[in-house]
Amino acid sequence: MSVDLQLQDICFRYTGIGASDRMILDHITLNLGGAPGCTAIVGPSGSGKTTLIQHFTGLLRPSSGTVRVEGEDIWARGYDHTLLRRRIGLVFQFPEGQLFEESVARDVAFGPLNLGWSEERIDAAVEKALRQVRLDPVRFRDRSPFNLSEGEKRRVAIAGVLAMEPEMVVLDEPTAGLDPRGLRSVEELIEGLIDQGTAVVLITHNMDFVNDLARRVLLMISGRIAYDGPPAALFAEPTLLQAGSLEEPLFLRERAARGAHWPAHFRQAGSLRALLRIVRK
Amino acid sequence: MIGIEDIHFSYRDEHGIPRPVLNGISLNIEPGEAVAIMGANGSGKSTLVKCCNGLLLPGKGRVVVDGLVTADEQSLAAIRRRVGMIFQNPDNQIVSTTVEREIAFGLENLGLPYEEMHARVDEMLRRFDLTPFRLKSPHYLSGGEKQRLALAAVLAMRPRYVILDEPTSLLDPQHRRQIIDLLLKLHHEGEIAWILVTQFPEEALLAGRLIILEQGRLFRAGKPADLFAEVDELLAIGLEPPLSFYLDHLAGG
Repeated sequence: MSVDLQLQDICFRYTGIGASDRMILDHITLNLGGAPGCTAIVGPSGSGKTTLIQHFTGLLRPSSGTVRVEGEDIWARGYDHTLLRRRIGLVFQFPEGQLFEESVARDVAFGPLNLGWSEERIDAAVEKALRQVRLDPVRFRDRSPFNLSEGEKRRVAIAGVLAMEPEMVVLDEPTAGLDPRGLRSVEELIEGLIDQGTAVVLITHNMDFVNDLARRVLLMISGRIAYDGPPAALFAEPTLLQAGSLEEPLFLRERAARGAHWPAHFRQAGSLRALLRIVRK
Repeated sequence: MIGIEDIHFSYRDEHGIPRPVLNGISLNIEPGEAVAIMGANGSGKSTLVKCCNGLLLPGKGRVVVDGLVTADEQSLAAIRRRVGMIFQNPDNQIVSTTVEREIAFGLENLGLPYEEMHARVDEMLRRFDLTPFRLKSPHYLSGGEKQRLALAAVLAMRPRYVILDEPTSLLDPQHRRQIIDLLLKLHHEGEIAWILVTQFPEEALLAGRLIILEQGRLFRAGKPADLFAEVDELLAIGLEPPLSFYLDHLAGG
């Protein structure tokens, strides 16, 4: 299950009073179709990451270039963006800020309700989405979203997107502000999505997260794609890391620094997450 | 000094039942001190720091900033001048129509002379790489750029204490380092005490003192390296130590 999404020579700049005249997206050509798995988008603040994903579902219209989903131009006359937004689920930064219903279940059901699904289908989708984000539906469905912990609120907001059963989930900084437990639960949630064949696109500044999860990484610098390939090759390239305002994952730095002192039974692990799995066995 | 004296705080949930967030916390923050605060989500970190400048008033106990009690409404303006605050999400605090005006906003309220105000605005724009955006609307900045702006606007007012509530969670690694380096520099200059709420143990390691909260109580306070050496204890309350401590622990155990 995945969406064939193609961006062809996209440029974007804001127009309007006070708008910066810089090009936010500068001739981006990108194919996110085909294979499931996790693609990470990294790069400095202001490099255009968030603006890029807003083009995936027609939230922003490119100044020039085309966005195609399954070969169809999403800005062609009569194209149904509502359907597109069900297929590609966008989770924004601090999505919990948009919670507004009186109960968790109603908040998660908001998207499906607008899609006109039957009550039974909505109930099932809400239940499944809550399980996907590791919130027990029985305990959480009737609670007010405003009295949950930050990590729980974040997961309710993500569940609201998952409830529409998207084929691609795009998450913008999903772990910002979460504690280690919250971070691990988001990590598990993403792994679960990958396992079930949903394509995941992840914007993050956490390079250990990229190292743990992503198969492909896009580095954006000043509105262009400066690197597109496997994470390992990016992390081995100091000039690109410097240009991209990035740092090598802590895990890889620690491993290199310890050299011969790295325990033999750690050797197989390429990330902290993998290492914890080995140690716990 | 910010004196936090046995403060309690609770809010009412959807059924009107009081939910305690802070359950009797006492601690002092000295001028020029560098303090990190950690704790799981919901442990009371944000509530605690919001009590430090009177954004929240404790239900029991009191907070005294350089002799001024936060519950005293007449003192609030003076307290807010002394205690600057940066939030996790800069959208919650940016109010002006241009980057330059955002930094000048607080200075105007201080009644600074025109030249002094301009000098400070220029300095802050430079220090935070915001000069190219000075006449732009903050609305069009990225999340990380907005966070640098929020910090620039608060520091321009030269507070004695600055509270940063997870300020780097939206920043790229190098800008994160820039903010942290700046905090270290402020500390070395001895001008400003900072109180950094963070989820990054590597950042907490840079503080002189680490305070760990758990379920609204003071769990531990001391040198960060000492507290991080107790890995099992941290994991049990939902925290993780810096990776190097974690790896030492895993290799040893």
